[in-house]
Amino acid sequence: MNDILYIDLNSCFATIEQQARPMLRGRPVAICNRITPNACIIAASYEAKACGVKVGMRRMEAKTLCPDLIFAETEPDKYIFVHEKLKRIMQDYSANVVMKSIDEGVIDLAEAPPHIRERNRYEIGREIKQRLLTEVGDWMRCNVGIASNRFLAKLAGELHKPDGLDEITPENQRDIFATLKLTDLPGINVRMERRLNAVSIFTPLEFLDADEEILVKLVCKSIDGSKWYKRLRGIEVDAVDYGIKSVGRQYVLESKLLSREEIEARILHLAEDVGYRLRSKDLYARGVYVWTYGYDDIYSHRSTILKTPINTDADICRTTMQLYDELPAPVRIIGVTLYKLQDHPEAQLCFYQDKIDRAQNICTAIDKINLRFGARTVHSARSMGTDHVKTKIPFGSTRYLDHSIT
Amino acid sequence: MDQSSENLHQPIDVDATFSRKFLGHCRPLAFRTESGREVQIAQIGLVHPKYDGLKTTFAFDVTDGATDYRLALDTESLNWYLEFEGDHYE
Repeated sequence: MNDILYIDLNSCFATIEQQARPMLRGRPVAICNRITPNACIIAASYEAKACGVKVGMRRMEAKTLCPDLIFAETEPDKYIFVHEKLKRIMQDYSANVVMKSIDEGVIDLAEAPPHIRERNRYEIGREIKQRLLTEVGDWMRCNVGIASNRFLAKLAGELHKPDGLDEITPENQRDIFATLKLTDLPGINVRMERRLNAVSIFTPLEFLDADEEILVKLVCKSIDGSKWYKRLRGIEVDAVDYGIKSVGRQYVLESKLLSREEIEARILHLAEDVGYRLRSKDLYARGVYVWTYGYDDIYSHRSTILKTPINTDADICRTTMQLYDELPAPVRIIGVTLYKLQDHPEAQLCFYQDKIDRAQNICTAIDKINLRFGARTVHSARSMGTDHVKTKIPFGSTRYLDHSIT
Repeated sequence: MDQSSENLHQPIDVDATFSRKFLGHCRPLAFRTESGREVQIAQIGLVHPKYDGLKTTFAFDVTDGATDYRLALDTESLNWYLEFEGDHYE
């Protein structure tokens, strides 16, 4: 019996807005982080998608396609609440639940209690859908995909959107693959499609029938070819936790007219935010990476690898500003990322250890105050007036949903 | 936006029931603004918590059938506020 269930909320943010505001139901809705004339759409309701509105489209373009389109700004609290509800529902079926992002997760029933393992998978899928309706709201829909590994379960979940419930088995896999394009497979983008085409693989069935050696030596030119060979056959190769490699944030500046000092305040806000996230996971960073994206579409970046790991706001902000000072202006998007993470401070005691301890204690005290009284109750004076630099929705990792400081 | 206002934070009086059969157990039925306007709640969209440090506020997204509202219950003071009112949007 297949043990993997892939649960995916349909048009997550737009559906949640329609759930929260009944007057939006049945109407085309687009969600943006901030409603500005050139805002980028990060989610669209099915009604909007039917008009041709797509994620990533600019507001003006979408409005031309769909004049009745309604725009709403993201509200992270709502989405985190629904995410937590969905996670709790999923955890009622197995302890082995992994949330892949804010709107999708995997239930592995392999080690679930016997009374759940023995149940029909379709029955469990239908029950999860029903519980979403009764425990979150009657507008909520999700796709459920069932298969023997994460890849095929995700594919099954994408077969009939919205509100689908499908299973891929060895018996029906070839029939399903015959109806799909290569780019319908999760993880196959246009570039990968070109590489497959180069060795005369043009359909998912041809991909399935390809020799492992061809995939390893000619397509992927790495062990990834072997992973694809196994993935396509329902063997699990994706149950891997890669850990936290980096912590970062970016921000699209709200105006072209911001002064250097105003941009610096926003950079410092980002640095304080990533510092808080780093400390919330008891981590230290040696790498600091600062990048900007200019109005001329030029990407600029500076990075440094420090001799000693840091995690205090003072150290992170100082290093960030040193790097930012080397970057050209004017900028449209700014970003700060910490990398080369480790879970321990410097092993060797420093000659000025008392100063380091003092800075660490101040930082810990500020974190405690902010946890008790709310985000940014205490912060550096230079990042004042930037409370609107709110945290965006983490599309990838869900690691910081319980520590978000907006 | 059309007729919509956010971050109103107007104190309001609320009639509510508390029952285990409702999601979140608390169900506002009607509210009155300081100006005396009374709104009967036809439907509750979503009830979710909002955290500001250790302080929790429950947000009730509701509608009277023509306009959407957000009511907020401050769990420290047990006061209700009208936070948002909108009849949509652009």
